[in-house]
Formats: sequence, structure tokens, C-alpha cells
Amino acid sequence: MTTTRKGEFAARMPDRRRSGLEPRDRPRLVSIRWIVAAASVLLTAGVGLALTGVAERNARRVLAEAAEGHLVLQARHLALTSADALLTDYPELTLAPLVNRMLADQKDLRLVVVVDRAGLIQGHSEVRLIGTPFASPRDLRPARTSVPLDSIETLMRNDELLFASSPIRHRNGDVIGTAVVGLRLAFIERAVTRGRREQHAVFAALLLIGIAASVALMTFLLRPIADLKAGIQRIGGGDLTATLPVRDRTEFGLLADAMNQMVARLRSAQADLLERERLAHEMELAQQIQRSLLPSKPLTAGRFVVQGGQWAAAEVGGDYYDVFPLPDGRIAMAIADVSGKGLAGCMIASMISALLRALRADHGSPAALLGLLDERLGETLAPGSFVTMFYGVIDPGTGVLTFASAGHNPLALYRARTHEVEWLRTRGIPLGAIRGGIVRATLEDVEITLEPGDAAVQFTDGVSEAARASGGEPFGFDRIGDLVRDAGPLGAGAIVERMHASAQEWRGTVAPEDDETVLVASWSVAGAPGAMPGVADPALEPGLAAWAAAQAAGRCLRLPASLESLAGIGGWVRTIEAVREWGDERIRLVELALYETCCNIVEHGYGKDRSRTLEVWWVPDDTFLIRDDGRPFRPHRGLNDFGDPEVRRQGRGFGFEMIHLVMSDVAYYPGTIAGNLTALHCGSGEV
Amino acid sequence: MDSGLEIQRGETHGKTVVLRVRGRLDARTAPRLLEQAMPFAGMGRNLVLTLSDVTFMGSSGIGVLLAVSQAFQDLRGSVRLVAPSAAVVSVVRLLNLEPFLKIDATEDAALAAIAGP
Repeated sequence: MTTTRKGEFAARMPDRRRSGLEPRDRPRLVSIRWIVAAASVLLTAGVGLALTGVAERNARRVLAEAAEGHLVLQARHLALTSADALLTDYPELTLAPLVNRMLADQKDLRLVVVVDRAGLIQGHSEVRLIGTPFASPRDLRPARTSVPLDSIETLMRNDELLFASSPIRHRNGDVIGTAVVGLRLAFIERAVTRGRREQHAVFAALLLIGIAASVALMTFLLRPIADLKAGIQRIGGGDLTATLPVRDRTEFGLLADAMNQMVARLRSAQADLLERERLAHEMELAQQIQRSLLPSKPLTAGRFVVQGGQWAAAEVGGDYYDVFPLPDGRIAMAIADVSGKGLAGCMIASMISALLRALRADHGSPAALLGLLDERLGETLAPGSFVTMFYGVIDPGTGVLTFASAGHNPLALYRARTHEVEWLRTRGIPLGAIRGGIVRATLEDVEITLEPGDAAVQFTDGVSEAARASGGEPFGFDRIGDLVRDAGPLGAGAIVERMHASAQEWRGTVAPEDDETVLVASWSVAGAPGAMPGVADPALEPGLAAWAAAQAAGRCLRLPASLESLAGIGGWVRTIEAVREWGDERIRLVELALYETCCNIVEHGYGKDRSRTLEVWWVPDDTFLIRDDGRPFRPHRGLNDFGDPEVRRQGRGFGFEMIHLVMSDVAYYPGTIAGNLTALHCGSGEV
Repeated sequence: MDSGLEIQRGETHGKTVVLRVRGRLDARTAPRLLEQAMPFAGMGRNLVLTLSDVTFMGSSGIGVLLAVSQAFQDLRGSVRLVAPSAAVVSVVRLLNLEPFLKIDATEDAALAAIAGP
């Protein structure tokens, strides 16, 4: 791909600013790695705190149970060791060292007291309290414990202390006092707090490691994004050769593969687009060449008009036609169809044009010229290519048309005298079809003489093979023949236009597959569009005389070409003074004949095209003259046998019968200088 | 829009349908008469067409009258034209079609003719 093409493609890319994709319009970037790190911190912290809380509660419970068991044992131990001392006269002397030793050994003990049976303190760390009544600490409540207790042992607590008492028994089992021990609960809190601090330290360390690990992991996983971004930016800039070099085993790898496939398809679409543009350019060039080869206007020589028309297909075909005068005053006409299409076909057509003009003065006859062309083209045409071609020369003085055809369509010859079309087929195979001069041997000259009003019509396959929208039926020679017969009286220009219009109508909405080319030489017809003025057909003279009389002294009813408007004929006829004298029955019949004539023109001449008009003229010599410029047709009087039930079942074909029965004379003058004229003479009044 | 032709359906007498036609029977309007009359053809049905108010009749009009008559006849029915106006009579005479059309002066006469002796 060239830089220019890249540039062209980039220019066709949508404007990023317009489409709102400009980076500055985007909200601030939030990195996925930070989102994941934050989420992991929050999650870990939540889980950690929950676990710590559970662990702390369990630790507190275990510590409390241990402390309770230990305190009850201390109380029992004090009861046992103080039993004998309590029986002595001065128990405080024995008990004081015992109590002080216990307090010294165990710092968490808050209270160690021995109380006698009378409730007086006998053992205490403070000497001044000995002999005083023992008062229990305030707000004591029983502590729930799993330690098994004697029936008169107690384990109590308040907010500060855990408090155990155990009975002091005499050897005989009598209770002689109570040993009381109190433990500071702050001891448990300290142990728990110490444990919590350690847990928090470990937890914080783990959290930091977790954050670092998740950021590192995300950084590693998101690494392909930079490559993806760089590749997408290159593609976005119009570089469709870029590929995303991501060989990742995560979803980013899938994304890169999808992007690469997309770019490949875009690349292919871009190539198609460029190819289409190239073809369109080539086609335009071909059309220009094709147009430049064609004559710009009809050629007239003496009584002859030679006119062509070409309508190019979407994909230009290789049609060509030309008309030019020869040095001896004759007119040369050529039409050719090259087998190739597009620029190649056009180049061949261009070559034929140049060769034809170079050789025109030198050749002896049309067949000889085509032979020379075959020789020259044979050197150039690609194998399998060929050209069908018709070449004819008209002598305008004698009306002799000499022609030869190299495999081209037959010539349709309209004969004005019989109003019929003859098809003239000749031998001859296409130019270039077989190499080595064999084509020349198949070519032959044919000579015909054109008479006044005749027309020689040539065309290419684009016309005869124009396919109908539904079913694809080709337009065909029969329809061309009918068309030439109908339009023949109107001359070359009308035939060319009608051929094109009819083929187009036949195709309907289908675009032409091939060029449509028509070439017509006609003995000019007076009044026909494009015909030369001043040459009148003697057969048309009475019609034109009636027309002159009508214009001099007649009355005119002008009607749009619609069936509704024909209802006005009856009223108009009755306004003509001379007619009013004829009596109702005759007027009715004349109205009938006029109606039927006009009805035929509206239906068949104009195809009910209400934008067209026709004129009914009253000419004072008991004649009605109807003038129209529709498609000429020659009405033939039908011979109906009303005794035949089949005729009656069809219920049609009475119109011309009625016109001819009512009118004493009916004359038809198609294609005069004034248009088509129909003269209806009313005669003496006898019907 | 004034179509120029009115077709009124009259009383039905057994298998006989009466249609009364007014106005122009020309190339534009005659197909309507054909459309309205033809569905009655068949199963031995008959048609009485009263044409006293027809102001104009062209070749299409006479064509429809002949086609309808032939169609009914083919299906063992008959068509009778009643009191044709001058416009109708002119055309029938011009083409010498009297042998192929049955014409009566009144609807009663037409119905009586269909009913038979």
C-alpha cells in the first residue's frame, strides 16, 4: 500500500473530535491495579479484624477460666495451710507471714485474708486490720465458671476483682473459718492487650505484603494493555498494516486476536474500495473515449438522413458507430460491437474508428474494407476476442445502399410503399474470429435500392437482447420489426428514439447490461422530426391539402388525449351549422364515427397519455380532419363475421367497421409535415 | 367523478335480473356494464337490460351487448334489450345486428318473453 492510499483512507476515517472520542473528553483515568489493590486491602482488613475479634474473645475466655481455677486452688491452699494456725492463741503471728508470702509470690493477687468463725480477720497483710470484722468488697456477683466448687466455696466478681473463698476446717470436719483470695481482673486485660498488639503487628505486616503483591501481580497482568493501546492508535491513525503483537494467554490475547482479525478485514475492505474506485475511474475513461468516437449530429446528404444513437450500459460495452461522408459524395455508415467490455473494448472501438477513417478512401467495397479491418485487427485482438460489424455506403443520388456484415445483426429495411419490414441477412463471420484471412473469404457485398420513405435500420445486441425485468425474455427481432414498421414513416430520428424508448420500457427497472446502439439511414420524410424539409411524399398531398383548407376556413375542437374528453365530440358536432341540417340520425352516426376514430388515436397513438392533444377539424366540404402527433398506425378495416359466435363472444372489432360504414371515404396520412392526418369524408348523406 | 354511466339493478323475477342503464356506453364506461352483467350469467339465469336512457353507444358498447348476450346464451340463459334508445338503435341497425339481439318494447314484454308461452 502506498502512502497516498493510506492518507486517502485516513481521510475517510470518521473525525475523532466530531465523534467525541478525543482523549481530552474522557474522564480521568483510574488504574485497574489500584482498584484491585484497594479492594484487596479492604477485604483483607475486614477478614483480619473479624478473625482478631474472634481470637481475642476466645483468649479472654481461656484466660478467665485458668485464672478462676487458679484462684480457687489458692483459696483452698490458704484454707489448708491456715487451719492449724487458726487453732492457736495467736493465729495472726503464723498467718501474717503466710499471707505476705503469697502476695509477694503472686503479684496479681490483690487480697489474701483469713477470717475466723466469728468473722474477724486473723490473717491479713495489713496488721491494723487484724481483729476487725471482714467486709466483703462491694458489688460482688457470682461469677459463671466451669470450675467445680465445694458447697460452701464461692467464686464472685465485680468490675475489678475475681474473688474466691474456701472454708477452713478442723480435723473433725467443723468449719472454723474462711480463706479469702482476690485477683485483679486487670491481669486478664493486660494479657489480652498484649496478645492483641502482637496480632495487629503481624496483621499489618501481612497487609503490606498483600498490597505489594497485588500491585505487582496486576502490573504484570496488565502489561499487554500498553501494546494494545499503541497498536490501536496506529490502526486508528489509518495504518492497516499494523498488527497487535500480543501473545498473552489471558483474555488480552483473545482481544488482540479479535483486533488483528478486524484489521485484516478492514484491510481487505479498503483494498476492495480502492479496486472499485479504480474500476469506476477506468469506466469513466472508457465512457469518455466511447463518447468521443461518436458523431455529434445526424448526417444529411441529398434526400438521406443518417442518424445514430447510443446509450451506454453501466459497465461500458464495446459498441461503436460512425457516419461520415466519402470523398465521392457517398455516405459511409458503420456499426460495430466489440466482444470485450470496459476500457479494453473501448480501445478496440477506438482503433476501429481510426482504421476506418484511414482506409475509407482506399477500399473498393464494404466487404473489402471489412476484410482489411480483419487483417489489421487480427494483429491486435486478444485470442478469443472478436468484433461484429456492419459497414454500408449509400449513394444519395441513386438511393443504392451497398453493405457487408461481419457477423452483425441483420439489417431491418422499412419499405414505405408496402409499409412492411424486410430483414436482410448476409454471410460473413465476425472480424478477428478466425485468424489467417479466412474471415475475408466469408464477407460479401449486398446491394439494395432505397425508395422514398424507406429506412435501413441497424442495431447492436444491446437492443435485440435487452432482457425484460420479469422472466428475462429478450426484446427480440420481432418487436424491433414491429417498431420499425410503426416508426418507419417518421424517419431516422424517430426510429432511433423509439428503439431506445421501447427497449427501455421493455427492460423496466432492470439496468441495461450492454450498450444499446442504433443506426438508421432514411429517405427523409416530410414533417418527420429530424427529417429534411422540402421533400414531400406525393401520397401525402391530399391530406396536406385538406389540412390547408381546414386552417383556411375550418372549425377546430382541440381535445386532451383521454377517453373522458371524447364525450365532448357530440356537443361540438351539433354546433356546426351545416351539420345541424343533416337530421338527428345522421348526426348521431357522424358523432359515432368521429368518436371511434379519436378513440383509436387516444388508445393506440397516444397510449392514453392525457398530456398530449388531438384536433378534430370541420372542413366545409363535408369533411372532418383529425390531426394528431402520436405514434402513427394504419388502421385496417376488420372483416367481422357477426354470424360467428366467437366474434360475438369477444365483442370487439366494430370500430373501423362503423367508421367505414358511416363515412363515404376514409383516408389516412401518417407522418406529414403537420403530423398524422385522418380525413373522414361524410359524402352525400346516404349511410 | 361523473362516470357518465349509471347502472341500476331492478327487481329480480325468478331467474331473471333486470338492469337499467343510463348515460353513455362508450370505450371508457362499457367495461363496467360487462363487469356488472357477467356475474349473473350461468345456471340458466336471464338478463333484461333496459336501454331507454342510453344517450350514446360506441363500438365498445355494442361489443359488450353482444358479448353478454352470447355469454348468457352459451350458459342456457337469455338476454333481452328493452326499449333501446335511438343511440342504441342507430348502432344496431348500422351493423345489421338485429338477428343477434332480442329487443322488446317494455320490461313486462321482455319478462313475458322469457317466461315463454
